[in-house]
Amino acid sequence: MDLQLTDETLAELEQISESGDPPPWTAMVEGRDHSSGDSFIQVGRHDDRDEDMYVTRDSGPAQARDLDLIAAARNYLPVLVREVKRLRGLVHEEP
Amino acid sequence: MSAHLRNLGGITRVLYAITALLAGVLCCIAVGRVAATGVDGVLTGEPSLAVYSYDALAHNAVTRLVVEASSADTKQSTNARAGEVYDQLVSATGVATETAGGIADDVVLARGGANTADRFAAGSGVTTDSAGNLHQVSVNSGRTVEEAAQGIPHNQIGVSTAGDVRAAGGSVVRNPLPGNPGHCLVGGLTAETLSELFTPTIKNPCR
Repeated sequence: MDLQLTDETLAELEQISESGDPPPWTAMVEGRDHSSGDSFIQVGRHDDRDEDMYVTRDSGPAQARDLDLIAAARNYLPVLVREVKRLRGLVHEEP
Repeated sequence: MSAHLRNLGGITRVLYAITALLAGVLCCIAVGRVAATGVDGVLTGEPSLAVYSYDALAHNAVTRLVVEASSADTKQSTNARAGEVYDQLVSATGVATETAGGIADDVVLARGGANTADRFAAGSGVTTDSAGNLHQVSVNSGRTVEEAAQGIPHNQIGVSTAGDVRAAGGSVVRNPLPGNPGHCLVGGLTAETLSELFTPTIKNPCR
């Protein structure tokens, strides 16, 4: 898989990021982050929650590493897009 | 002289016999105490000696557990097996609620999430025995739904009672955690039965 982060792709990622429920998303893993309940992704701040997200694969509920990846991707995608755009802006400004 | 020696030999033999008898009794007491302490620690982490005094079946189950625990490869496998044997012991002997961890029938049990069968089976620390029954399923307990839901972060929770779990053939054991003294472990039921007991889910009153 040879992906290129073109300006068009960057714009697409920015649009995807902005259309989803905003961060923070928090992976809540039973036995690690809480007890007495399924592992899930908490969407939103503790005092401003949206619906919980339950991730399932063919074999059953997704593992902690999957939940961590999804939550991190949601939280850092806008940060990474901003950072790439900022750095590209600096490069273009150089004489 | 020879008669005196014969008498002395007889006395020595009697003393040997008494000493051996006392040693045997002391060994039995020591072994019994070690076994009880070991089993108790493996089973619940806290004393519940009343469990041992129920009947011969309970005694046999505990004895089997001691043997298995002493020969187990790892502490983890020992604990998993201990949970299964404990659940079987509680179910088979019909141990009264107050001696099965002090959990009355009307105590509310709550577990966060969708509470579907596959999620019960995938719960943290959950083991499945050869009959397909789950053990070590983590739940909260309380006198009310609100109390049982304390500390559960999910928007939705499944609710049942200790009595309903027992009526279905399962067991409930106290398992206090730091900051969560009402934490319990449910076992002895299939994932499907657990899901039936804990659904439909309701909105978490603490959210």
